[in-house]
Amino acid sequence: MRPDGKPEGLRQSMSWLHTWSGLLLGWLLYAVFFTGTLSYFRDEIDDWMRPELHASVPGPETAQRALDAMQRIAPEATTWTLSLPGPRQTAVEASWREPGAEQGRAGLKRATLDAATGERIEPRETRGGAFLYRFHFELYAMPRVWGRWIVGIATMFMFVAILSGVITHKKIFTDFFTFRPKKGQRSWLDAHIATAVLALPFHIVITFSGLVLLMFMLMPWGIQAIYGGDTNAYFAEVRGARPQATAQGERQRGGRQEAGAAALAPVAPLMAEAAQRWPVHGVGSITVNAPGTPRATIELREGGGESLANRGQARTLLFDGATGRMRDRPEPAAASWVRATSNVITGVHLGRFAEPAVRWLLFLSGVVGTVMAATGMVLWVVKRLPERRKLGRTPFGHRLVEVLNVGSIAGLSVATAAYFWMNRLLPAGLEARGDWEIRGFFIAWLLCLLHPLVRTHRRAWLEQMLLAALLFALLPVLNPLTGGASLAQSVPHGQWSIAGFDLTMLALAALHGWVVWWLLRGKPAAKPAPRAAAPATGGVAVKAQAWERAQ
Amino acid sequence: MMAWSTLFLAFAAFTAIAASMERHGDDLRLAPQGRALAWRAGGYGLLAASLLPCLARWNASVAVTAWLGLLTFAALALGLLLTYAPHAARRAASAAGAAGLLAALLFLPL
Amino acid sequence: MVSLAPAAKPPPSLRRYRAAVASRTVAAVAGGYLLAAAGAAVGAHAMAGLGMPRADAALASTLLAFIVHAVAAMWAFGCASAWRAWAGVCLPGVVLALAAWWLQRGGTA
Repeated sequence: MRPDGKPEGLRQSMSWLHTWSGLLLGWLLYAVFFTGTLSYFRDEIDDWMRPELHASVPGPETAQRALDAMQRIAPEATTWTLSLPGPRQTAVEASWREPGAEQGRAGLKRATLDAATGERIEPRETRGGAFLYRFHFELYAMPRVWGRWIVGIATMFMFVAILSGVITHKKIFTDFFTFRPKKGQRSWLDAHIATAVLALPFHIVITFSGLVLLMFMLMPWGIQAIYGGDTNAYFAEVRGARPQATAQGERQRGGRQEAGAAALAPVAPLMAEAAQRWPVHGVGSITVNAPGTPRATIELREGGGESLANRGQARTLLFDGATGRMRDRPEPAAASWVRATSNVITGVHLGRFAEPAVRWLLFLSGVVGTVMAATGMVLWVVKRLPERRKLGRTPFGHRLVEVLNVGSIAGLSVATAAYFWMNRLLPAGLEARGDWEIRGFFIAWLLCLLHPLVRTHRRAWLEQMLLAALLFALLPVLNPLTGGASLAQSVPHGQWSIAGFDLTMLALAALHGWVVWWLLRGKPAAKPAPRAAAPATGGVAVKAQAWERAQ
Repeated sequence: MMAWSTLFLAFAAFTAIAASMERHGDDLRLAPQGRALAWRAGGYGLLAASLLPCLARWNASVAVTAWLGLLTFAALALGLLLTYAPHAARRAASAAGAAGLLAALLFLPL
Repeated sequence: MVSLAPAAKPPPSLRRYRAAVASRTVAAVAGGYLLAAAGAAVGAHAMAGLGMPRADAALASTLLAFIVHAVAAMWAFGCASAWRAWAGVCLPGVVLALAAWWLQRGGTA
């Protein structure tokens, strides 16, 4: 859109739309991208933030020890579920239901067990990775529905920004491998375009699937039209294509315990059978129904999904509890093509199916997307520098964007690092320490939003990036000093959730450190002199010089 | 291993495509000269072929997801190489192509 | 994007520009949503009527609705004038909304 109202082509109008749909909610979108990318590793973050677990080293005996422990802890339970350690988790997470317990989450009891001994561990109270994950689509400190609406609207802005960006980009193929450094605005544009185009399928799928994941709230009208208010009927019909693990149907409600206890068959041969069938993911969890009774069943669930068409649902094997014999299960019906399409795109977004190699690809693509958002916001400022030079001062809107850029981009890194630091600095026994960790996150973020108000733009970036780099770099040092397993321990033991976290923090530190180095290296050669010399009165030239010095 | 194979093959494929482009053709001096279309077609063909190692390891939907992700980083690597060390790009691409093919053949899960 | 200069009212061209932006924005956001939502409802009925299983029709129309909203928003800013934005987005939106309401009341599907 042009202020003078003259007609313009599609590329120009889409360029305008791209700028505004990207800028207006860009800071929120950056935060959503950043926390979403970290959420791919939320289990690992959970592990790192509970150093009491770090002594737990998984081994071949883990499943049996855990089952034996459950026999001691909850012999009367109607179900036991054990989430087994693996590359993403270093301890056993157990949950069970006592007879007569409530339905759903309220009736579940939980414990964390050491993978080697089966002993109960009492980790410190923390929200862990779940805080970042929930923030990603629900924000914080507001009713969940509000948070989801805000993020949902932002997601539609993002979707429009992506589509308009593609339309406006004239040389998408010619410029595919092009990056021109040290050219100021041109370089920022190249960086923004490269991170956008090279991972374009990811960005489109992630954004669109983000809308789909919130569709019951954002766009319920299709379902409403056909089902009236009866959403349960919709869910039933849609799941009719995917019968839920039939073990749940066989589960006893209310726990009718039959006379005659029966010992559970040894689990090792069952695990071996499953491991053979599932070489990629291995066994993710074991669910025992009606343990200690003759009707007991043992269900092994794969540690990931092999196909996205059924939303990466894990395969299961069912065994008779007393004898260890495998039972036949009907194959779940294939999903319809509509359902399969929806499953594939939402499956990619959630990444629950993913084994480490694929998970890393999703994470790194998320990093690329986060950089795309950041470079876009910075590009807006850089592009308007010549205009500001001519004016000799910085308009309010430009200053606002500058301050918000530093605070919400660099500031978010500082806040996240602060969250992890708080996890270790706050005493383990502190009341409501989970809430305090989160308060630390927001206080750090707020300070980072205020800091750029009293610093020049360049200094603000430099100082916050430096702080983030230091905080991230020292986390692997803080880890063993505050009761966790250092890299020297976690790597040889194969505790990749903990080691991976430490190594990723080092990588983040390196990334932020590189930005600091780049900022310290000096500005690219700008060319202000000729312009100021031209029609300038003495006053404008002086103003321009003063403005330059202030940068 | 299959993922690395795809990554290397895609890198080689992208280099072939880049070589057929006006902007990068000089840096990537192909022999014989002027067969831009053949290089482009070959590049796209190799790019499609780079999907195969992924399909060998994963189910179709996961394979395509992984493939697209790997393409991103192959293209990124080439972009950086062309910017900062264009003369190394040709050798890197040949090495990558060979490594990718070797990895696929030696470690193909059958 | 003009700085907060003291005193003077914005010139008529700037006021016109801002009015156009506001108008197109309403068309894109509210009109677009109406078009998408009504389209989802009518589309679901249509697809189910054409034989698609109910759940699939509901799901497919919802997915398409998001695309419709995005495209409508882009069109509202890409077309030649704010009037056209309203004509192209809000008008069909109202028509579809009426159709959806009529179908809901049990019109011949």
